[in-house]
Amino acid sequence: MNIFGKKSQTFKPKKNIQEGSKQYHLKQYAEATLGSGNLKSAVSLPTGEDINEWLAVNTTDFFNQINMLYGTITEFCTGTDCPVMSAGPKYEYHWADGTTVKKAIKVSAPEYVDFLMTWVQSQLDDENIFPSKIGVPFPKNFQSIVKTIFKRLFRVYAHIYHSHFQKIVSLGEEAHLNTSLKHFIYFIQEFNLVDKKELGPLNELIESLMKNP
Amino acid sequence: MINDHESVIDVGSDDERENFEDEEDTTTVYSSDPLSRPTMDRSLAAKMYIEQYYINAQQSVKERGQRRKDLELKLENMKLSSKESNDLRKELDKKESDYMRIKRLKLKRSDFEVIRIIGRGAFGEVSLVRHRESNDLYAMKRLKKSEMLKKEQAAHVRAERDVLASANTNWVVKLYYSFQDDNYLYLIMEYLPGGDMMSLLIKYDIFTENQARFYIAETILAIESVHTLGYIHRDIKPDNLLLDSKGHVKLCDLGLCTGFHRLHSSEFYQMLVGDAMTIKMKLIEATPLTQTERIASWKKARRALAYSAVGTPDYTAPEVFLQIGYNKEVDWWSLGVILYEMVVGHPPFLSDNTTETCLKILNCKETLQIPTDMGLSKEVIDLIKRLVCEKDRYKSADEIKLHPFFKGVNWDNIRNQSAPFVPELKSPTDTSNFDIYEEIPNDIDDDDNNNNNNSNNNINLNDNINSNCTYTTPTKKSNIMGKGNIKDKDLAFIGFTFKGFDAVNKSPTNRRNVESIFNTNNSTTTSTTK
Repeated sequence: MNIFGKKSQTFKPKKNIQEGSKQYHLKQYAEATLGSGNLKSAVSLPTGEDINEWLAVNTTDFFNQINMLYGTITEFCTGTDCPVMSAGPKYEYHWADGTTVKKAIKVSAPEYVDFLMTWVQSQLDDENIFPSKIGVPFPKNFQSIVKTIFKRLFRVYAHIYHSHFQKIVSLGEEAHLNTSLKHFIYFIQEFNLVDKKELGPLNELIESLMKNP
Repeated sequence: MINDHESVIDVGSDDERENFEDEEDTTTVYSSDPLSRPTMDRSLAAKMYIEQYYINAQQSVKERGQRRKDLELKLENMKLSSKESNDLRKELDKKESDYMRIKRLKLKRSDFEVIRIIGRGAFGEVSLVRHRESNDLYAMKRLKKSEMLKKEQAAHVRAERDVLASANTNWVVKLYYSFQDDNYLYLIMEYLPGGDMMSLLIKYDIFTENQARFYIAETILAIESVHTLGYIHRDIKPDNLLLDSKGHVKLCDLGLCTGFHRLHSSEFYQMLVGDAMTIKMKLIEATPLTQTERIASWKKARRALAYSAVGTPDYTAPEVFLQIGYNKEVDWWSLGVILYEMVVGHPPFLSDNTTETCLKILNCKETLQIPTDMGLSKEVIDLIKRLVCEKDRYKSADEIKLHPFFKGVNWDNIRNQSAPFVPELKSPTDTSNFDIYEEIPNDIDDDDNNNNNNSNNNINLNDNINSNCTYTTPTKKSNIMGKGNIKDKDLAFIGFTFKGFDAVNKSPTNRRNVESIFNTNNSTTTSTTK
């Protein structure tokens, strides 16, 4: 789907072998995880638990993890090095939140992530969406909002893997990043939170990650 | 309703692929510049955070499953109707959901109203507080991060939080929440209005053997519950034995509940042992008259001593000093010292300073003197000896319970019996069983004052005072960790935040049925049928 007629002149595809090399590089690091027990069973809705409550607490947890991980590469994710929010040569994200910014705008990666994290934080803090008082029900459209949050959070993972993974390795974080993503994928699959096509940028990596027990 | 106006642009297609010159490919080679300190700090914080997250996640799954199993076991024994059993299951499910919601709470200092300070010491203070939303009363321990780091206490407080977070027994003071801000760690604890055992000893001086038997028996059960969890307390002493509203004993773990942690580093003990050897001759010259004066002086100062960072090691077993491998027995030694103090009126190894105390403990065969003119029974004398200083000291609660001194003790129901001293409480917020502490002007609620404290206390730390970064609770100014620096002390306190399942008990809805099940003491036959 291409809303805009013309392609960005500042972004050009790399030759095939380069893309292949990067994909191979990512697959190679899928081996490293924390070995933290059975992630698949960890995402299952506990017996008797309210599904919205379960979605809410996990949304908060993933937000915190991704926030921490992205925070480690902000020195390298700059407007100069990442002038657009991209995930490899084929994917470019423009920001719109549907309220403040209704029409998608092209911004640098750090700006995009800042917009995204600020928006997610505002959702989590909104008592009408994520109620914190005991006994207050979730809104009817809660699951729809959660799906949007997860779709957007995935883009941060995608950007980190494609643009900053070498720094992640230098910092010794690849096992943490892989475990977090693997947990994320199990969770979105369990509750159908993100369309499969949205996962395109990391398809091969995800396939490798999910093969490991 | 959120309208999705985002766009994903597919800017690549096979038929438009172009070849680039080789030299352009080199631009994708990553820089090998050394990583900056802020980046490495944030990286360490992220790694620790994620590791702790998955450890906690596994623990939560186990604990939830265990609560379910416990309920099913009790239901089997209660012989309820099918409807009644299902109602109780739904109650537990509701409670679990409430707990899940509580986990999302981001607590902050201003959620609690301070009623009164009830304790103060080297690292911070303890206050009676009211949770503004629920009106529930708690004890809030506030520990100053900079002080913890200066005295290398960060690992201790973390270990202590772990013990309390995993303790689920009536014998240990409950930890409901823990959280932090830039300057402090906060522990929201069960409030026990009866004060502590030290206060009782100060007030009554000497207990009868019947009174001592009651408190020692309850303390045995409390220590046993900690040992069952797999921990050694290592800091059993009168001011860590708190009293609930009916006068029953509850144990504060590892000195945490007073918030005033003892130094337990090996360097400290080695220094004591070294000093002790050099003044061995001086000890021999002590006279009975000096001992009388020493006791009087000690009684006057004991509360102040308890709140110093180092304190006195009166209750410490010799193997702790010698730093040889020690075991749960060290807690039984402490129990024996407390028993001695209850029936004699002062601890057995009383001295003018910590070095002499250490020396006396190390030479307990000569220095343990049980007075013969106080009419103590041979049972209590024998028990003290078997707990303190005997070659083959008691090793387990089961051994101690069989001692003749405890003849007649109903171990399974002691908590339901009347305590020798029942606290007199005029109101729920009556703190008359605690010492009186002066309020420090603006110390508690004034953020500006906290900033000033931060400025003063961080002279020895290379902190960026202007940093707004709080990695576990991102600020609204910016949600990107990179906007600020992570302080050293933040690294030390990662994973501190905690919300316990017992916090759900504090929610407004009355859930007596489930509470009565979980609060049953070692009994699987109690019926709650109405």
